[in-house]
Amino acid sequence: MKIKKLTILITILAGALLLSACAGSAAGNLSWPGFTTDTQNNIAYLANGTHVYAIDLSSTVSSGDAKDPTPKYNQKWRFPAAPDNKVTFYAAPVLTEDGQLLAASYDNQLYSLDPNTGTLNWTFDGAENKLLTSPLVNGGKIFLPSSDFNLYALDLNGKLLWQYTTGNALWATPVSDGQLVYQPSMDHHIYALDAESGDLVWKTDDLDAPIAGQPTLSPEGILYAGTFNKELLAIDTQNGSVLWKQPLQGWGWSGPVLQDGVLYFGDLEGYIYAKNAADGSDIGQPSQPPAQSGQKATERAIPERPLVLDGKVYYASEIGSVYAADTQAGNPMAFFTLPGGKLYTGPQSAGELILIASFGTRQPLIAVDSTGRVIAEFVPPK
Amino acid sequence: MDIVGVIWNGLIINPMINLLLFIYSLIANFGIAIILFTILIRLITHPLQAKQMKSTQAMQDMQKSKEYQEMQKKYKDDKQKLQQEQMKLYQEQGINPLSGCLPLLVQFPIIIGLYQAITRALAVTPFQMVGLSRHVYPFLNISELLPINNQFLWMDLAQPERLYLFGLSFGIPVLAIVVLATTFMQSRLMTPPAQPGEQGAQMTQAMNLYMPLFMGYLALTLASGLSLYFITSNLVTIGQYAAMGKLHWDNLIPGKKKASPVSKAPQPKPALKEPVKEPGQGTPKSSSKGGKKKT
Repeated sequence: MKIKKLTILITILAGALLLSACAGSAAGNLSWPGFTTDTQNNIAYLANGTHVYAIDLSSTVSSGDAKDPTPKYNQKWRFPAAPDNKVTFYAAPVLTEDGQLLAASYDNQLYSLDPNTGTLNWTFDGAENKLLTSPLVNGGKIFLPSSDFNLYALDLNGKLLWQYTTGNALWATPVSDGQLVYQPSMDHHIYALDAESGDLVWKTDDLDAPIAGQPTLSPEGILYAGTFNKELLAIDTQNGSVLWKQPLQGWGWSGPVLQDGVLYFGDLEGYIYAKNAADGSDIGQPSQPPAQSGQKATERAIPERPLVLDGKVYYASEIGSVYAADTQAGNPMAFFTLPGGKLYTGPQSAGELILIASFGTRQPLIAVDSTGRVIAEFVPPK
Repeated sequence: MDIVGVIWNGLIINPMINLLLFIYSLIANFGIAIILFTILIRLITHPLQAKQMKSTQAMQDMQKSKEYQEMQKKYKDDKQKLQQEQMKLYQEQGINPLSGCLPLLVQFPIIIGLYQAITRALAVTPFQMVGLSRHVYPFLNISELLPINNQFLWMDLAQPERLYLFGLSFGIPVLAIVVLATTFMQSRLMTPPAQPGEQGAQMTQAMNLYMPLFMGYLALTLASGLSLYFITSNLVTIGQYAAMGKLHWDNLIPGKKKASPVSKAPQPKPALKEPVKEPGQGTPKSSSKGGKKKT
């Protein structure tokens, strides 16, 4: 009978672990990695879970394993040295003009690090909920959006200058023209705030849906933003009025890349768009690249902005592929595929290479050449 | 995937998430939406629950019959023959031994789906939101509803609940306590009085002890929206049993023992799935004491 009781107890504990794990993955702190590249110093800063990694892109070492011949990048440092599950990083770290590296954490704190050593300069702990996205550094100020509905403006020493409370969580990094800061909110509005005082200058009418990704600001003063209402919006920064809106196949997330008057972006259904920035009209038909064998056709979101490089547009898709489309002719083709991996983070260039951050694989950063061949990868040391 | 995943999402998860969000769109309060949603799903599955309860009752009645108990005695050393005779008896009395399990098996994915629907609708990070976008039907204008307002009374439904009172330096896990209490009540009220010496009774007793603790632990650590679901589900189950007259209120009164219909039987028999004892093997000590108050 003791054995039976023990069996019951073990079964219940196993159930507890299972349910906790299920709920943890559904309601916990998981997200996709974010990274930024310092091309001058050949370093990539990767936020991936419990650590921010500084990765030396200037040299590689051989793995010494015939089964895994891909050269490996070295870790320069990581922060914190020992993992703490309460401190997790997913938003791309940001380099400031005065030589700091800012890392926003899901533990509500903003960490300022020395980019050379990873030592901690200061922290800002004034936010009361998760920091889901990167801060914006502009004009000697740090603009930090938080899930606690607030945009915090800090000086470069982490001292609070002002804060502005919106109607809901802030998931998007703002943009600024130096005078105003444009902050989208999950409350369906975009706010234009005076960068010096934090005073509200205008806010848009209800845009019918949350805006989760960073918008794009054109030199002409037009904001482009994707919404959960399956729309791409163009907004006049003079007064917040909607200049035009264009339907999408799926939810819009990040703002587009603007290049030569064309807006390039993807949506959460995996469609790829090229639109005329003047009126939002399509340049070619939106296309959804076909899934390859073994890929989940139902999971093909493109939440982050693509990379435009040498006449090509590179889109990272959740399905596990990076698609390359011609800036003129479109026609997206699979450029790189990571078997078993998922890609959410927008690719970035680093010299001749393209860096790709992967989700759920042992190598969270992969460098490929212009043909899509893997040149090196980063595997975090244990 | 993943045909299983497609079927699971298509038949269980997606309808449930959309129903939950539809209810939320009507009342604009996610806490109440969870409560109504849980009640609705449990009402829809009530016929299955009722069928399971009737089957269980029929099995219990049959196992208390003289014929069954004599058969147990007669073939206690011949397991194979015992099984054959049991099957004959089932057939004669028109009882399908699996009929109690099948409704339970059907309900199980629905309960899991209900749980997952709540966790997925509470998308509080970008990763979760991308996942949610895949489950929403086009006709439901979800974009206007998002993000879900997670505030309900003093709770953030996406976080574990604590009530902070003035003067206290710590939060009181009110929902966890209520989950523990209702789970305990539910298990006590639903358990029929044990027959003396019934080995299954000890397992039930252990379940009745561990399950409320287990549920209380979950409520302590998981999002409070789930605790709300646990409490509602417990109360609905109690209500379902009450409606069918199957509650055992005596179980809630400490020290009070309800006479079992077969408590005077000379030697109660083990449950159907219990191993047949070897000759000379004694009965469990608990049986010699006439059975513990049970469970």
